Amino acid sequence: MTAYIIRRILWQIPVLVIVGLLTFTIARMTPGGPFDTDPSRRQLSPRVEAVLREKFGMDLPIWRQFTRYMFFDLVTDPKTGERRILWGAIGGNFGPTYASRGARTVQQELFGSRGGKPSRFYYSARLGLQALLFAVTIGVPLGVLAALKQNTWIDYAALFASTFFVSLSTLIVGFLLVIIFATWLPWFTVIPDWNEPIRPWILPTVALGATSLGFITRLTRSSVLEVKRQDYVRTARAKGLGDRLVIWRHMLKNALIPVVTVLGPLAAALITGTLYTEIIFQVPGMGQLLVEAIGKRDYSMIMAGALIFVFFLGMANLLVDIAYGIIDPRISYK
Amino acid sequence: MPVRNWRGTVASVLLCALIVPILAACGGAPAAQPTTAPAATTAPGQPTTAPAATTAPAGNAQPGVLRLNIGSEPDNVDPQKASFVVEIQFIMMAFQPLMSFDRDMKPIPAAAESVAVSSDGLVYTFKLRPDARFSDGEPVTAQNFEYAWRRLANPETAGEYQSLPCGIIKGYSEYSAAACEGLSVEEALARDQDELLANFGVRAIDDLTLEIELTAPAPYFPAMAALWIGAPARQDLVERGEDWWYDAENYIGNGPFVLKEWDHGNRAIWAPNPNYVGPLGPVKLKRVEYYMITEGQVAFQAYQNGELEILGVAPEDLATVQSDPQLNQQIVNTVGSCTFYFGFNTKKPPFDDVKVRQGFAQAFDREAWNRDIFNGLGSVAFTFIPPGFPGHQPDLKLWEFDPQAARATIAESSYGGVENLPEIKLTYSASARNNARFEWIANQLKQNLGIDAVLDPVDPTAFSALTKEDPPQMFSLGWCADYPDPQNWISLFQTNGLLSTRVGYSNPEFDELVRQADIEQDPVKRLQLYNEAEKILITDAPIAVTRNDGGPVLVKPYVQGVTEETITPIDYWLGFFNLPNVDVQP
Repeated sequence: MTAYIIRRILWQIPVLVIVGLLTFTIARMTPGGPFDTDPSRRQLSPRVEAVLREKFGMDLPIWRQFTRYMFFDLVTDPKTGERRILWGAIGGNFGPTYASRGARTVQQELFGSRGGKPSRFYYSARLGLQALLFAVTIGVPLGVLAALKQNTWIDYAALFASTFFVSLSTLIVGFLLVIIFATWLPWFTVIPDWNEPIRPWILPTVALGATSLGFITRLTRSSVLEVKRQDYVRTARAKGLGDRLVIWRHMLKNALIPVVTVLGPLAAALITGTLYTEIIFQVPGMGQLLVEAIGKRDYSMIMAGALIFVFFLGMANLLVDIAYGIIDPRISYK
Repeated sequence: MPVRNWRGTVASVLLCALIVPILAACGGAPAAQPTTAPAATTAPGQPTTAPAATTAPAGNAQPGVLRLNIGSEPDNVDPQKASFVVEIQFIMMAFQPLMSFDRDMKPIPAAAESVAVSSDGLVYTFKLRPDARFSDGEPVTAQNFEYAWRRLANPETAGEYQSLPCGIIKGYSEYSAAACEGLSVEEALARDQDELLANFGVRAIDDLTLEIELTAPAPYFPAMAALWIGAPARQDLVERGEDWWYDAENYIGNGPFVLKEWDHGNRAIWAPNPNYVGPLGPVKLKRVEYYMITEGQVAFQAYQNGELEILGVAPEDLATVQSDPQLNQQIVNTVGSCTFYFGFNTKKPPFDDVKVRQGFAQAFDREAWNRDIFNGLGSVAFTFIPPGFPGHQPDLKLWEFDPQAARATIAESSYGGVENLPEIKLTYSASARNNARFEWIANQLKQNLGIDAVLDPVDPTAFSALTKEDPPQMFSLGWCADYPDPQNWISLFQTNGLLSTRVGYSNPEFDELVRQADIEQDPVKRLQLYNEAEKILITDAPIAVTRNDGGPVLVKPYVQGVTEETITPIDYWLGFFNLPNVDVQP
């Protein structure tokens, strides 16, 4: 098992390098650059732009810009002439952000404390986990219930609600929540006070979790329905086992495999920041920063966004695979 | 039907496709658009639909507390590095440069108590206020300002406005050789730094006297000395690290407000600076809260809910606001500091012919443009310098709308007539809003000149690069004031100037007038020279000026000091709407 986990983690490295290379290539192929700003404001003079390009190492050969970002580079201090190694992404350095004119690094922006407040990663990760928890704790029981009571009003109601949530985007659910609970009802404010421990988290968690909730409910339902008709369930019942035992030991364990499978990518996506929820509820998370980076051509932030997502995706999938082994003893890893 | 050309967007789509799984959405991302004027406080492009809750609750307004949305988190508020409006709004809350502006946008002493200029116009002597202190109690000295200007010029600082004083302050170009003379940073730093600094024109004579020596008379220098780039950042704080400004406790200045708390990406809280002395104030507010809400619809809800006191209105929201009996009463119209225009690349046919350019300038219905597309928010413009700014010429209206005359003018060109013109391509920065606008423009060209223009939308950032590297045949651009002086407008069209290169414009007669005007010390004569130069510029028509910005801002009735009479186009400088003059009394 341990060997398996180590092997999986090592496999992440080539994956990350390839993703980095792809992102780098596409980002650089896209026309425009970080110093091309809105034409209706003062433009950088060409010489100032040259200074900034030099500062960000954009005057180097393109392959060296990539290796500098991903691995390391030898840099010379312009004043003292000293040479030293500058570590790249493998050393945890995702480079200075172009938006801050190089004053702050990507890791500071994403993982550093925001002037005494928790980091942006904290906000995104906490929101994502809460939403996931919300979706699973409601979605799985609802799906099981709907499947067990197939073709009753419970099933129809659950089906309707889940279809409703799946079809609505987070954007719309978010606005609906704001209008209902902050504008019509005085329970929340449109501008959240993030100094409060719980209140500002409630609406974004519900908005973000709603789509996943619908999805998980539907998946659980269909999965349980399939298992319900399997021979071993009939056998179990024929043996005279009670309902509870059949459901818990024979049905659920098998039905949950597909649900657990989707949880991996879902968790990675929710944790690394979600644009609309963050915008509507003014969550100081990573999603907005990463999306804006595309428009600003903030190359280091774009690269970091892709690498961090892939890293979390790989980790989440590993956890899912380990969870298989726990749920289903037939699956084992060597 | 105009044909759309999707060249150049494929890579953007690919990039989005790759990042998309992380973010759940791509195209809907708010463009990284800097706010350009006070009117742009809402995130662009989101029409407000729900006029919900017109029964605006009393809200939780408190006396002396002003809450407003600045629309995005400033990425860097270091005075010697920043350049975006939202960043300037931050800097000018906490800092006070040597000069400021009065209601007529004339430079007045601010951190300086008085300013004197030598008879040859070369040496400015600033006497600082003896009782001035930073918000932490440290005295404000001439050395602070000397440090700030040196830091701006230092190639290592690499600020975006470092090239502004090139060739104006003595010794600046030599020291800031990377930005001014085109050296690499390494080469610039290899020069003898001590010698360069010894010849640097900004000198602290004693604790309260600062002398700035220029290379040539520059009557616009006092206005430049009011810019954020010369704000007295303190050496002891700056040396705490490149992002010294990130922590509120390091952000100490001599301005009217003190940054109390900065919850990045969420809000910033300001209190009046008890140590402030200067022409602004005395500050009436007890507290100012800046919010960074990027989505205009959310900010609109917050305003309706009584959680914001001031809100910019996007053109798309205007109808909603005007039809609401309550909101309608809360509109305050602001004038902007920007001019928008079509640039004609004079190096590319058919705009290499002045008659064609003039014809196009005549064929554009500016009234309809401003009315149909902008709901009459801004004003129609015929000159480059906007109304309210020194040098504005209200009577210069060369190319008023006249389709008949436009066709006749084009017939006089070397092309002989509209029908002989090569294909006209309208290249623009693609967005839902711009797509509609350029369809409208194409329709204008069809109606007024019988031209079938090809629409050519490109990705916004790519468009920006394009206007610099290979300016399209015809494109739309804007320019916003850095400081209220004609030099900041007209002189940019000198041969190889910042704006003339975009359109390939060069006219020796124009250059000579501008050269004279820039050093003329008699203000009346100087203005005349700029006026003449502007007339040549508009006649040569490398650009066709279309409109000035401006627009409504919603202001709660209990806010005092934000009215059409009291605000000027550059008030965003003083925080926001000249905040030291504002009060809130619910």
